[in-house]
Amino acid sequence: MNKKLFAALAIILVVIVILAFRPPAFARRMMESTDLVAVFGKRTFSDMLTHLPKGAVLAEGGEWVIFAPDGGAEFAWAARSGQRADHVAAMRIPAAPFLAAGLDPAKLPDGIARGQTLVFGLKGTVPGGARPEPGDPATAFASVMDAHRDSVAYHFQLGHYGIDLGGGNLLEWAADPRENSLDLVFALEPSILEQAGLDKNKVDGWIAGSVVVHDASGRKVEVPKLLKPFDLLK
Amino acid sequence: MTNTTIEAPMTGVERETLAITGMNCAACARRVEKAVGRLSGIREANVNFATEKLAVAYDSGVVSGEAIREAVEKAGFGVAAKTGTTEATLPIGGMSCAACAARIEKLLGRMQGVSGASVNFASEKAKFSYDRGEIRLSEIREAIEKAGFRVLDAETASAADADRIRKEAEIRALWNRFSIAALFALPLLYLAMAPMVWWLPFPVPKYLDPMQYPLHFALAQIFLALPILYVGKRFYSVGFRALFAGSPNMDSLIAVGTSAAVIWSLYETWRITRGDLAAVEGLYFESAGVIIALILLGKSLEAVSKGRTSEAIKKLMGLAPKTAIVVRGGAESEIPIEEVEAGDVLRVRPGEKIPVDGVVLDGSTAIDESMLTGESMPVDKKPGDRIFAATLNKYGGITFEATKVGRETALAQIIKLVEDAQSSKAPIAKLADVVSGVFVPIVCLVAVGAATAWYLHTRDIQFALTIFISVLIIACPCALGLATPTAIMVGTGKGAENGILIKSGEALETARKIQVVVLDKTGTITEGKPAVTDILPVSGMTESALLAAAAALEKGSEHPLGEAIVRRAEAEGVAIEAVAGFAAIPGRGVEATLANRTTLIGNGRLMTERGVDIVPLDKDAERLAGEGKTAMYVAVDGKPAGLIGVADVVKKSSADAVAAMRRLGLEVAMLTGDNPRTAAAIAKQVGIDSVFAEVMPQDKSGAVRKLQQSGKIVAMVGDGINDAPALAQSDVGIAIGSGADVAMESADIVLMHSDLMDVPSAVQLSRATIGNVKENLFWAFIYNTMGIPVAAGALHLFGGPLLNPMLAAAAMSLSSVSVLTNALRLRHFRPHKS
Repeated sequence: MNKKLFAALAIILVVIVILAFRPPAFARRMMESTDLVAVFGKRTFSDMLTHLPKGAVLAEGGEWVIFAPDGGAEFAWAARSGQRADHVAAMRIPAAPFLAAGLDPAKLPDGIARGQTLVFGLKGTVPGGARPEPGDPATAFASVMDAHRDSVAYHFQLGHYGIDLGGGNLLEWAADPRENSLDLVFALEPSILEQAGLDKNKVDGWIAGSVVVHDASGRKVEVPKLLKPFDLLK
Repeated sequence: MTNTTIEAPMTGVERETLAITGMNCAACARRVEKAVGRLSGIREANVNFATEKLAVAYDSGVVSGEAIREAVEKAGFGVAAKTGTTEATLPIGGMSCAACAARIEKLLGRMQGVSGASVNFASEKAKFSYDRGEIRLSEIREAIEKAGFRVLDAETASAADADRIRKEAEIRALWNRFSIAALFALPLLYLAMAPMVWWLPFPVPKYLDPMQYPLHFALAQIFLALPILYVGKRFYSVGFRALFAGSPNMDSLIAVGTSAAVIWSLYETWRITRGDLAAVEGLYFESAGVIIALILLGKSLEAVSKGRTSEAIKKLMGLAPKTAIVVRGGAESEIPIEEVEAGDVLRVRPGEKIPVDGVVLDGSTAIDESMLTGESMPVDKKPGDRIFAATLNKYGGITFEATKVGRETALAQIIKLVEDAQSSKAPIAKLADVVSGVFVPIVCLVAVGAATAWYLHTRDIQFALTIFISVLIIACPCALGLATPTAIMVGTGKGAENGILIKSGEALETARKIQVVVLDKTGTITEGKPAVTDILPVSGMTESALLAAAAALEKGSEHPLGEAIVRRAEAEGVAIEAVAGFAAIPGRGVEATLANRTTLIGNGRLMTERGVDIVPLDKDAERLAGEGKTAMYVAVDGKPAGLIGVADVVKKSSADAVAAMRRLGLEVAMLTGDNPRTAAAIAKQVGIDSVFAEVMPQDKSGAVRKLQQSGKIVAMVGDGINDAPALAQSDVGIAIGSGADVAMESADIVLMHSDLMDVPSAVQLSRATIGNVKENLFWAFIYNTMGIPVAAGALHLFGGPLLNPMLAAAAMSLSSVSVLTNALRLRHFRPHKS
C-alpha cells in the first residue's frame, strides 16, 4: 500500500471527525431520518396519548395539555409554531402537597411558584412560520421535539423517552407500554425544592426515589428524584 | 535406457537430467540442446552424447518439464520413461500458524507421487520429493494455491536478494495493513469506549453520542470497522476456507471470533433501527476491529523477528561478491555473478573476493580462506591450486578458470546445508505439531461449550458471546507453532556463524544428549600431517635404502603416515622406484614387489601375519610407541629391514577441547589404529583416559556400536574416509571440515574450522538451543493453557474478572512476540571456550 493512499485515508478520517463535530446543515437534515431517539420518541409519545384516559386537551392558551390520571400533575406544550409563550413545554403541579411537606415558595427561584401551582418549563419557542391551526397534539409535540432536540433523550435504564424541562425536571414515557409498568412518569429534581424547605419524603402523591441516568459526559450516575409514575394500561 | 539422475533443485528453479533416446552423433546432441534451449525459461541445456543425457535447468514457473519433453520429441528424439524422484523446495506465502504448515503437509502427503513432505512455518518453505512420472510441479503448486496459500515465484541464483526482497515486501505489506487498521481502530476504540471512560480528555461528537444518536453511533462504528476488516480480509478467506476444508487453523479462530462479533453487532444495529435503542450497548464492532489490528501488529512484529532468525544465512549469502571480471578474447568485462559459467576465465585483483570456485591458471597470491576453514593465515596459491568463492585474495592478481558456479560452489553447498537444517524438523517439533494439529478444533469446542454453559447460566447472550470470542481469540496457537522452528533457525544459523554446520534439527537436538565423545586420532586430535622422526635400519641396511624402500611402497598410498614417508624421501632426494603388485591391506599396511623382492610396510600385526620375525625390532618399536610415535615395520622377502618412526603433532587446541568436553560432563574416548602404547602416549598428552587402540577402519563403527549398546549416546568425531561408517553409526557424527567429503556427507555436524574446540561449542549450542525451544514451548503452552480458562470465564465464576476479547487479542499477539524474542536471545550465544 503506498504512502499516498495512506495519507488519503488519514485525511478522510480527519474530515469525518470534523464533520462529526460540526456537521453542515445538509448533513444534519440527512441525519434526521437516522435520529432514532427523535423518530421513536415522537412515535411513542403519540402512542402514549392514546392510552391516557382524557387524551390531550387543547387549552385556551393555545397549548395542548395532558393530565396525570390522579390529577396531581399536568404537562402542556405549544400547539402552534411561532407561538410566543413563557415555555414551549411545561409541567404544572399543584403546590399544596409540597407546601404541606414544608416547601416555602418564597425560597424557590423565580418562575417556579405561580400561585397554587409549581411550574417547571422549557423556555423557548417552536421556530418556523406561524401555524394558526393547532393541528393534532402529536404533531405539535413533534415540532417541540425538533426545535429542542437536545432536551429529548432515551432513558436506557427504564426504557423511556423523555423531555428535559430544565434543571433535571423531566417528563418520561415508555417506549413500549406493554413491556413497561411505568408508562408515564413526572419526575422532579428535588434539590432546589429541598433548599426551599421541602421534606421530599413527605410529599403526598410523590415518591422520593433515585434513578440511574447518564450524565452530560456519558457517565452512569444515580440521582435522587421525586417521581409520579403511572401504568396507563392497568 | 532409463532415466537415472535427477538433481535436487535448491529452490523453485528445477534441475533435471533426462535420458535421451535416438541420438546418433554429436550433431544430434546439439540439435536437442537447440530445441530445448529455444524454449523460454530454460536456463541451461547441455547434452552429453556419450552418456545420452540432457542436463537442463529451467524456471518451472515459465516452462514445464512436459514442454521440454515435447520439444525433444518434436526434434525427433525420445525421452526415456522416468523412474526417479525429484526433491523440490517451494517458498510458500500466506501461512499464519503451524496448523497451516500441517495442512499443507497433509495436502502434499495425500497427493499421488509426492513423498517426504515437510513444511516449515518459520522459514515458510515446503520441501518434498515427487515422482515426475506421476505428478508435475505445476500441479502441486496449483493444489497448494487452491488450499488458500501462495506459492511464491521461483527463486533464482541470487536467491539471497530475492528472499530478502520478498521478506521485506511482506513485512512492509504487513506494516501497511497494520497502520491502516490502527488508523481506524484507534478512533473506533475511542468512540466505543468514551461513553464508558468518562474522564477521557476529548469529547465524543454530539451526533455520535450513543445515548442521543444510537444509530449514528452504530453506523460510525461500522464505517470505521469496514476498512479494518478489509485489510484483515486474508484472515477470513484463509480461515473459512480451512474451516470448511475440515482443518481449521489460527486464521479460522480469528475469522470465526471476529465474524461472530461483527454479525452480532449488525444484528444489534438492526434492533436499533427497529426502535430497541438499548441494543446500542451490545455493539462489538470495536472488538472485531481492535482484534484484527492487534493481530496484524503481532504478525508484523513476528515477520520482523522471523527475518532476524535467518540473519546468519543472509550473512553467509552476503559473503559472495555480486560481480566477476571475465576475460574473453583478451578483454576484461565485469558481469553479474549469475552469468559466470564453468570454464570462464576470470581475473581477481588483490583485495577482491573470489567470485566462484576455480583453479588458478596464472599468477600467485595468498588467499584468506578463514570463512571456509577458520584458518586465519592466508594460504599461498599458485597455478593449479583450487580456490573458493567468497574467499579473499590478499596480495597478488590472479587469473583462474571457473570450475564450480552457482549452487555448485563450496559456499553454496554450505548455505544449502544450513538451509536444509533450518527446514528440517527436530523431534521436539513433532510435539508442537501434534498439539497444534488438534488444538484448534478443541478450542472451537471449548469456545462453543463455554459460551453455551454461560448462556444457560446467565441467559445473557452478550455475555456468552464475549466468552465465545475471547476463547477463540486467545487460543490461537501461533506461538506454539513458532516455538521450535525459530529457535532451530537461530541455533543452526548461530552455529554456521561459528563454523559449526549442523545438518538437521534432529542432530541439533541429539547433540545435547551426548554422553560419550569418541575422537578419531589422526587429523582430529592430531594435525593429521605426520612427519618421519626416526629411521632405524637393521644391520646391513642403510637409512637411505630403508627410506627408499618404504617410500616406494607408500608412493601410491593416501594414508597420512605413508605420505609422511614419501615427503621425507623427496626432501632427502631419495630416488623412489616403481613397484609392482601394490596392495593396500586395511588396518595393517601395504605390500608390493620392489626390484623383484616382496616388500612389506605396516604395523606389527601385518608382520606377524606374514611370518616376519620382528622380535629384534621390538625394543626400538616399544621406545617409539612410548614416545607417542607410530613405528612402521619394513620387511623384505620375509625378513625385517628396519623401523621408521612417524609422529603426528597434536593440535594446539586438542587438550583444551578435551578439558572443555569434560567440564560439560562428557566422557571422552580416542579411537585409533595405532598400537596401545602409541595411542596411550597421545591420549596422555591431551588428557584422554579411554583409548581404543589398534582398531581397524571397518571396526571403528563396531567400537561406536559397543558404546551405544551400553546405553550411551555417542558422538563420533572424525575426518577421514575411514571414519565415515563410524560417523554414520554414531548418534551424532561430527566431521572435521578439512577432512574428506565422504566424512562430511556421513556426518550430522561439520566443523568448518577444523578446531576440536568446536565440539564442546556444538554441544553447548545444542543445549542452549533445545533449552530455548523448551522455554518457548513453556511460554506458548502457558499462554494457551492459562489464557483459555480465563477467557472461558473460570475466574469470573469466583467473582474474578472477565477477559475482554480485545485483551485476549493483545495477549495472543504478545505470546508470539515473546516466543520470537526469546528465540532471538540465542543470537547472543557465545560458546564458553575456557
